[in-house]
Amino acid sequence: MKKLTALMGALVLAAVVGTGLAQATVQNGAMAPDFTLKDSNGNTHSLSDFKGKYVVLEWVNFDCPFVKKHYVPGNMQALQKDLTAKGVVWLSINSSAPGKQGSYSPSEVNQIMENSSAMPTAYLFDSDGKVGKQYGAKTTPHMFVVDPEGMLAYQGAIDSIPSFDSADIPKARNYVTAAIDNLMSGEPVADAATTPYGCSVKY
Amino acid sequence: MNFFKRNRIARLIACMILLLGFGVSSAPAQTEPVRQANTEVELIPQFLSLSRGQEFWVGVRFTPDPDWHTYWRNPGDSGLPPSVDWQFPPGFTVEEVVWPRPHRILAGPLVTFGYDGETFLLFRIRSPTDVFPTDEIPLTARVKWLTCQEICIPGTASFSWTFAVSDASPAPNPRFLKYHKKHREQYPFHEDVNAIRAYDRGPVWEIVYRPSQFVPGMDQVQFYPYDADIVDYQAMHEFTVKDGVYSVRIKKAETADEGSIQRLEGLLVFDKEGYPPLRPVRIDVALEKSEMEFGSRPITGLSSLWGAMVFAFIGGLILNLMPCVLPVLSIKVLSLIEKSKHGDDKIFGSGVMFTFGVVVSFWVLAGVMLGLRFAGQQIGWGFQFQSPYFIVFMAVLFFCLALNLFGLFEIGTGLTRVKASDNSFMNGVLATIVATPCTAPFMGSAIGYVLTKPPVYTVIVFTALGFGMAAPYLLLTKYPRFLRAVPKPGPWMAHLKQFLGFVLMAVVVWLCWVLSLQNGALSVILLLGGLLILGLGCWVYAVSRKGPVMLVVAALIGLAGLYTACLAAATPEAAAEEGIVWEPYDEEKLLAYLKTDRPVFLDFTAAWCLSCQVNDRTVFQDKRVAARFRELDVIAVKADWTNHDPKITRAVNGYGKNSIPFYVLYPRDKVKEYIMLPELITPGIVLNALEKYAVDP
Repeated sequence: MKKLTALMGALVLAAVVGTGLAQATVQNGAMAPDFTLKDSNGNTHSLSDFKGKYVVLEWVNFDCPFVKKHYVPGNMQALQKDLTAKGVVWLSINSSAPGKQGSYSPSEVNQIMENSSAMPTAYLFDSDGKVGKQYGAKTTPHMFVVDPEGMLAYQGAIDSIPSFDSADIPKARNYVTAAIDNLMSGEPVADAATTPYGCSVKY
Repeated sequence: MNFFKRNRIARLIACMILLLGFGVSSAPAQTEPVRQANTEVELIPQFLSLSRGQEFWVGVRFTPDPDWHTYWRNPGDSGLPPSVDWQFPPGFTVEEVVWPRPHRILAGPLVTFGYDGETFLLFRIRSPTDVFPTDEIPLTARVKWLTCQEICIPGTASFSWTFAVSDASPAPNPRFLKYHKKHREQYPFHEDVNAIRAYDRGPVWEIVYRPSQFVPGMDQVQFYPYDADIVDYQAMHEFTVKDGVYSVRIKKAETADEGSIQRLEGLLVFDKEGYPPLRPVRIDVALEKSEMEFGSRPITGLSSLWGAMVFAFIGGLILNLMPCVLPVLSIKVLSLIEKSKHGDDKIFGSGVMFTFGVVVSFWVLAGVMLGLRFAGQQIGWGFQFQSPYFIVFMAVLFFCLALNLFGLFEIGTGLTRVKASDNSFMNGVLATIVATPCTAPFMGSAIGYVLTKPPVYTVIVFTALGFGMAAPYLLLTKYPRFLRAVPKPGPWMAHLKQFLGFVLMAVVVWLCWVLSLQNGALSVILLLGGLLILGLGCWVYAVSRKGPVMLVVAALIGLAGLYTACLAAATPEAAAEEGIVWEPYDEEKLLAYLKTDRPVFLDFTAAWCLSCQVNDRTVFQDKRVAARFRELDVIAVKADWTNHDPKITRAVNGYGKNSIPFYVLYPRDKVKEYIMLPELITPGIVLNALEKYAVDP
């Protein structure tokens, strides 16, 4: 009887835990999930390679009007240049499935980046959408900031005005620079989670 | 009726003016519709002339091309609502924007809210009360919007309109009336303030709504929140209707910042397939914190820790009367009566161990639930019953206990070697486990509420619950003189045991019913078969105590029974009557089917293929599609590529493909060629294809 009861207790636990399986999203203050992806030059990068540095993750799709809003006037590139000069690592991640909008070959991506003077540390391919779904990336752009300890410090929109109009950029508060400024001066991040806006990620 | 006639003529004239392209007299600067970003957009004011201090509407019509959509004010996971920048003379104000009811639009794993057809967005504008400086009022509006299919295209258009100033009653614009009338049922309405209440209930928001005009039979409900990060867009809502009152439970967003959410604002939409849509109900209510079951008023005492402890203790006491627990505890009391003959000290010890067993089990449950909660899961008490494995496990447990009570086999003798106190501890654990079916319906939301509190609070309340449940037993062991009130041990005890066995069997019947709802009839048969084999095993065990060989045989039979019972939990739901009945892919069978005059539909799919699953959910579970499949007597064949299968690989390549999903339709007349459907399908695409190729010529 004792053994039987113990066995059944284990079964209850198994049943209880079994119901707990669902999709994962990331939470601020928790470890950002590690990943390993190939970049447009064929090199592999892991998030854990950048421990000790601030890392910005940018979900990107060059054909999305909301991404164009920030790339056509050079806003995103300026941000990339500015932050990488401060030692921040900038990873652009593309989760478009093959054949879907925004899915380009590595050489095409390099061409686009050269033409637009984009300066991320690396442009990573996540064609099976695994990393995107792990982070709960919903839109392009969808931004994440990871601190030097590997904890997630910011997730959400690029800035405070959800629109596809570049004219709104100067009026908006850029949440990513704000978060990194906060972090670098040792303050808590003022807006640590915002609602991202943009096109759907083309999983 | 004169009005209608006049109206018609006016409309006709307006149309003619439009067609001829004249800008005329009373309505100068007529604004043409603009076509851009796969959408036709038009600005349509309610009146052609204006007076001072007047309120009027301006409508903006969006008509996207088929399969394209625009967005609602909260676009959901992605997208952007349209916006309008107004330019008026000073003094004009925009008072309100009215959004028609949106729809849920799925984009892969994401959920968005928008419109896949024409919408007419309304802006309420007020003119100033002071004298107008000119006799013409110009209005300019810059409209920005986003149209998406899978990809998105932004659009921007400027409209200008000039109103004549007149102190006479304003001249209505027939075009506005036309679109307003067409979309009238789409606009939200306000209910009486007392008709709607909203509660924060741990993992869910609950809206309780008593409609002023109850329309029975609504079977779908959707809450569209104004703000992001409040509601989990993926989860479908649970809802119940009782005495004309809807109770809708909406899963909170994982990112919901509960502290800052004080109100629920949005639209509540009820639907029934085949019925005209009901107008959406505007929700704008303050959230009430509530810990009691639905329908009862919140009791303030419960919000204090002491109050919660007292209630939990009483709840624990009541648990003893539940049909699940009563038999187990009665056995314990019966054994107590027998033991009381030997001496008082010992039985108090066993009472303490029993209490300990109960409380520890409640701690384990509290720990598991808190653990799941910290892992980001939103669960309520009773969630265990969503798992068929748990149902099967409970049925097996109750069945064996019942057989034991009937006297088919004894389990006591093996335990006499163990110290009595240990035995009591395990009895406490057992009592807690068997109590769960009864705690679920009675204590669900109370425990759900407790889980939203700090962990210490949860542990304390669970402890009180455990003590409450063990209290009567502890008292009896402390003061055994109460036992004297019970008749002396005798044959009546065996009879009572046997009777309680029937109570447990009744619980097994109930569990079978729950399982039948979850997994269908076949699973119940498997479960009953498993129980039969298990019973046989128990019997072999009973008659073969001494021989180790027979013990092994008993164990083997028992395991076979358990295995069969577990199959019951794993059995997927049998195809519902109205669903499509799929046949697994088989080359030879397919060849045979292709010789018949029935249409054949092939679905190449896999569990790991996301778009396959999206298509399956949106198209093949669509009732219209399933009905058409039945009407046309289509043979539906599913080639499941989840596991490697060289035959299916061959078939995929045979159709000139190397990836899935894709769909093949063989027409009724097999002389004609088969057609292939694209990767992303809609009910419309499939129905059209069926109409074209599967209907008799």
